[in-house]
Amino acid sequence: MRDITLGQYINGDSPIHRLDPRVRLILTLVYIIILFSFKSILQMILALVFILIAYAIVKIPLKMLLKSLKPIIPIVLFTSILNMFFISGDVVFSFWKISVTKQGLYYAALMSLRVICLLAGSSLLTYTSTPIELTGALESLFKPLTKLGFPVNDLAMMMTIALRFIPTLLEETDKIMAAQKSRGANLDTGKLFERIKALTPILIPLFVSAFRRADELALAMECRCYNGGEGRTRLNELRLKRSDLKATLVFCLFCVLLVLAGKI
Amino acid sequence: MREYIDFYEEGIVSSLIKFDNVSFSYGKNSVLQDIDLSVEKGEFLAVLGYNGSGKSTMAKLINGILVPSSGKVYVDGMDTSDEKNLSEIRKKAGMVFQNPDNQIVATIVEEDVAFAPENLGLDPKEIRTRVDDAIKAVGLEKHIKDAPHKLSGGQKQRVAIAGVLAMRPMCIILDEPTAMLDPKGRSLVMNVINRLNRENGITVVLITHFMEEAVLADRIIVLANGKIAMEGTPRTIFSEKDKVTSLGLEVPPVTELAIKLSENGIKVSKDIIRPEELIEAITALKEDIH
Ligand SMILES: Nc1ncnc2c1ncn2[C@@H]1O[C@H](COP(=O)(O)OP(=O)(O)O)[C@@H](O)[C@H]1O
Ligand SMILES: [Mg+2]
Repeated sequence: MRDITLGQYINGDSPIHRLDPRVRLILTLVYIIILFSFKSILQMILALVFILIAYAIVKIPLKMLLKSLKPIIPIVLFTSILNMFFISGDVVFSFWKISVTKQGLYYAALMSLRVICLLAGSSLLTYTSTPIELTGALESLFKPLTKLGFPVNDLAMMMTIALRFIPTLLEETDKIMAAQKSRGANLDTGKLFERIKALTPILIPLFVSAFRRADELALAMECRCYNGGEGRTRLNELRLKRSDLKATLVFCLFCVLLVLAGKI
Repeated sequence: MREYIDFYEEGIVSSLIKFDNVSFSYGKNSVLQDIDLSVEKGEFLAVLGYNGSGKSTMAKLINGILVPSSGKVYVDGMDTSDEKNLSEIRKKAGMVFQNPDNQIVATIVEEDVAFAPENLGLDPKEIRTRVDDAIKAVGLEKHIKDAPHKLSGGQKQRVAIAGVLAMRPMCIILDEPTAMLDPKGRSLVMNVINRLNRENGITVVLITHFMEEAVLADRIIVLANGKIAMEGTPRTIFSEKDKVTSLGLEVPPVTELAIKLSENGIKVSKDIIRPEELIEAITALKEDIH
């Protein structure tokens, strides 16, 4: 059987893994906001150091981080170069009609650092949280909206079911593909249009089966006393622990440090 | 469980499930006609019948997924056609379906088992006790944190049973629970069902097309043409091979073998329904010869 992992979750038992997923989510969001509201290189370097320390705690090899940074390198380079050339100020050197300014270089470095931190920060969240943890965190955080008639519970249930059935449906797709191939279907070669056409005999059984599953699942849920999310309690209720408070405190210290760094 | 039955004989406690002159049709397609049936507390009832004889329909009538076109179904004295009773009825009569993949809701075993108690709005501590008890009852303690899609078919079906047990039902209705399982998964699931009935006193209604599973029941009913065509203990049912065959079923493989043996002059009884009985009979013959 194919082992499907959703997202990039890395199984582990680091202090960051053990944090309440809500804390992880909120701290990541605040971190991203900070990245965009501070404007000095020193602050960005501090932010980078901070996130690297976090990676060290989770024991994620730096190689992995670099690998996930790879796809954005062209974007970073492109925006840096644009910034370098088009910001006016004290000219450092110039050739032909283009001049590179001190301000331009500074801004380019700032932007690159910012994007790298942004990616490293959000990856850390997905490395340490399963999709289901994130669903639970969102459900809990948005709970107050239930009072305004926003169907938070239903949406969370939909997310959970989607996550539950993705592996099942992928497995089924494999089976149907194998079945059609064994009947002589050619799925791997041919022109684009032919290949799309060849997908029809896979998609149709897949859809039929998905609808039947949905029907049976709804029935089974009804039999297990499900009638909308109202009045539902949870087995594992999210509860803040002492370690969550400690982590938040450390994060606050980091914020203070950043503000101080901006004053230098 | 014994006590309940004594009470019943004295007319104090009524049947757990009662079909009172029930008919059901999907539009014009009449599936069940004038069914009368009582299932007592602690009983193990097997329901047999050819494909399309209305077994699943009957199961869905019990917990109010379907309501009779005419007549009444009662669960522990509550009328299934009364909307107000439904959640109480579903709590008392849990249902397990054929395809384990389509009845597991959550991405972790323990969270799936917790689904029903969560819906009932129970306290997290109470949910924890129920989940642990239910998982222990089906013998999946080692898999409590696993992802359901990584379990075998038999294990998934036991998760589904645990999910129903967590409601603390009086009765479980199983609609061909072993149809999609391999022989090993099947026998493990049947062990669990049997144990829940014999040791925990849970009433079981088992729909199956495996005769060797039906043999484990206290009583069998056979559905055909919208009616209960046969009713009785496994032994009385399977001793009427011709009638059973005419209703589109077979006798258990052991019974088949016993009949063949006796037709060929080996003196074993024709109403043997369990492998152990045949072994005993043959051993007895061997001792006669010596
Ligand atoms: N949802 C439905 N709508 C219409 N007809 C149905 C539906 N479900 C079952 N039937 C019909 O009812 C009859 C009995 O079905 P069912 O109770 O599933 O039988 P069994 O479980 O014994 O195979 C069949 O003829 C079937 O075609
Ligand atoms: Mg059926």
